[in-house]
Amino acid sequence: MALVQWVNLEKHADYAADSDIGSEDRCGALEIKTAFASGSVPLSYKVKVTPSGSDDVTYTTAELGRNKNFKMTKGATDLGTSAEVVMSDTVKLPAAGGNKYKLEAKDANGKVVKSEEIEAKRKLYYQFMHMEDTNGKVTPYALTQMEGHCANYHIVLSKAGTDKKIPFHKCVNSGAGGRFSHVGFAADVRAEYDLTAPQKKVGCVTALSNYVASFKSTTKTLTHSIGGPANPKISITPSVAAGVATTVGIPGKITLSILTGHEFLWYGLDDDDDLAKVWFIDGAASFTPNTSSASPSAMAGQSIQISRTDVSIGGTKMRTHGGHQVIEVTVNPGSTLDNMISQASGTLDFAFELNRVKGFSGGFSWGGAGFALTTCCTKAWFEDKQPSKSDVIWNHEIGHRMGMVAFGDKPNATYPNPKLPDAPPHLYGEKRGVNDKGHQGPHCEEGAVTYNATTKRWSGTPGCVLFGATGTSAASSPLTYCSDCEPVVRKLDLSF
Amino acid sequence: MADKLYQMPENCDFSKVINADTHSNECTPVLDNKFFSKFSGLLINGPKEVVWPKNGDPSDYPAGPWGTTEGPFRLMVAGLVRTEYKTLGLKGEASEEVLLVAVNQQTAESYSGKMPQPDVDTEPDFDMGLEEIPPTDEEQNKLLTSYFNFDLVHDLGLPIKEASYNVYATLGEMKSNSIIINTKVE
Repeated sequence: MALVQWVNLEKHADYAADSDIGSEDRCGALEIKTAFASGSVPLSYKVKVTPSGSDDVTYTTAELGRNKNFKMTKGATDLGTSAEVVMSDTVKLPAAGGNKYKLEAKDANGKVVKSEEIEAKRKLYYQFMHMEDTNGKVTPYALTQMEGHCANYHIVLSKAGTDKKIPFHKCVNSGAGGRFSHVGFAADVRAEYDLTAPQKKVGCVTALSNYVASFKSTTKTLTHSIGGPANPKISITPSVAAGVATTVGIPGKITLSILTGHEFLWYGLDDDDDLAKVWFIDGAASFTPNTSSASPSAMAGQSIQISRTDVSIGGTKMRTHGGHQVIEVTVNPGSTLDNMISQASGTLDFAFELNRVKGFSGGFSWGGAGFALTTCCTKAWFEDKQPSKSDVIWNHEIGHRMGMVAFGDKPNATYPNPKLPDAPPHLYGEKRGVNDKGHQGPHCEEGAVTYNATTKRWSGTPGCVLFGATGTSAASSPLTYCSDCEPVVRKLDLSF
Repeated sequence: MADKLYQMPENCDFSKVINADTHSNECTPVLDNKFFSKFSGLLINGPKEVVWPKNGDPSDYPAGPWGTTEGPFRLMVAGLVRTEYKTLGLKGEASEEVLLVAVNQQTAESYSGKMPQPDVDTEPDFDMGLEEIPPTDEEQNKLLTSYFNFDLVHDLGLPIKEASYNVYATLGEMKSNSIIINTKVE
């Protein structure tokens, strides 16, 4: 059995305390001690470290020129201080995981001694957190699947510290201008993140969240032809004026199916947003008389604002945990709007600026808060997230944490990182706003997938876990890397 | 505004503008009638001059995971696009397809980009069984407004150096008004 050398770890007692490490000697550079028989003078001896694995990965010349950790480097030779003559050599192994090496020392007489085979591994730590407080909770689950996934690439992903609870928020709003954004979420996580400093250096937080979604402003119009063909998206209940039978007027109601398909109002995703009616930005109605009619001139071409107090969510939820598409407008007796809908003929145009759900995210990986944060949602599209999808998301996000998809040879990337290996052939998204293809950050489009830039839709079958989504409408993303990304993962420098 | 279809806000605070936001703000061009204006096309508004600090580095202010930016190295432009529902198949939500262009007036170097998008799936990866009900023919001809906000440093990669830029936005065959923005480093 090969001796394991943890090539991404520095020599530190915190790492050595792990049972699978056991000694600082097993971290960082190899220290090779060569003992000579008492009285011998170690002249002209040589120490040699030679790659010996059958499936070692190798770095390109360009990669070796960009990151010194990709190279094998030899340190100084020391004469030992013990009674017998012991020479000490230091050799820093390359950053790659899974590579194997044999060590040989040869003295001036040609005598060769060998050590056990050395296998290079990498180790990362994670602290597990989940949202839970008196407002709600997400049910925690173990990440053993992700640990096994990483092990396939010679990375030991080790759970460390104690599991922590962070405040519950229905949604991390991933869009610009959201109430509870990644910044607030990161602050909650940071307050609980208490791995040791050496562990944090090669660590991350894995936090379970509820929804990760974003909103966008959208303008919608619906047209009602008074006395003409009915619009199936509009239903009007007239108000009842005060009179003999009803001493107080009864408001009417206009019900508008303002969204359809998989478009939903920004409602049910943040209690404070719901209270503030964030789904509603502005609204108006405009009346246009028929050219042939004799409508009252006071109404002609008139438009009125629809106030926030007069709008509400209507209809029923379309999915298990929410999903609303209908709004209602109160028609106060005697109001201008009441007069508009009371006309015998003409056209009534309704226009609304709304916040709708732009989309849901499975999770994200972010280092901008000064530590590595990865999260996976437990709900999306107002449904519980399927465990199989969550597995894909975790493997995807931990891949981002490690530096995938690599683009070290792309100096024109938005955030160039020459310390990464060369890019695999199906990289996209390293240039923000240029080759994102609807996703954010570097991803892999290996597989039978096609992006339609006009419809902004992907189709086909993804072939890599670092595809930019959990799948297309046709097929899910796989749990593993494609054959192009596999060697890149092994080549990553995880010393950070 | 009776004889003009829009106005450009002046002396507004561009530092408050949020990158990649799809909402209007105090710097967004103002239409004569928010919903029923006859204006169609693109409008942008930007500062006449922006001053960046001599010391510091934009990389010290990394963007959020979805493109939100902060810190002193920003150059914000706010705008709107008003198109018919049917235009370019965008259903009136055209802001994410708007290309902003900045041309250095001295060197003719050109920088362009679209707003960064949050990393979300814009459609479910399972069949919801919810059909989209298409708009009526009349509704397809309605003009709809959507808003955009750009940080030219982050979204277009504008260098932190003194220059004068001609800035405009495009969408398909449409082109916005042009504005001149001078940048200084002090």
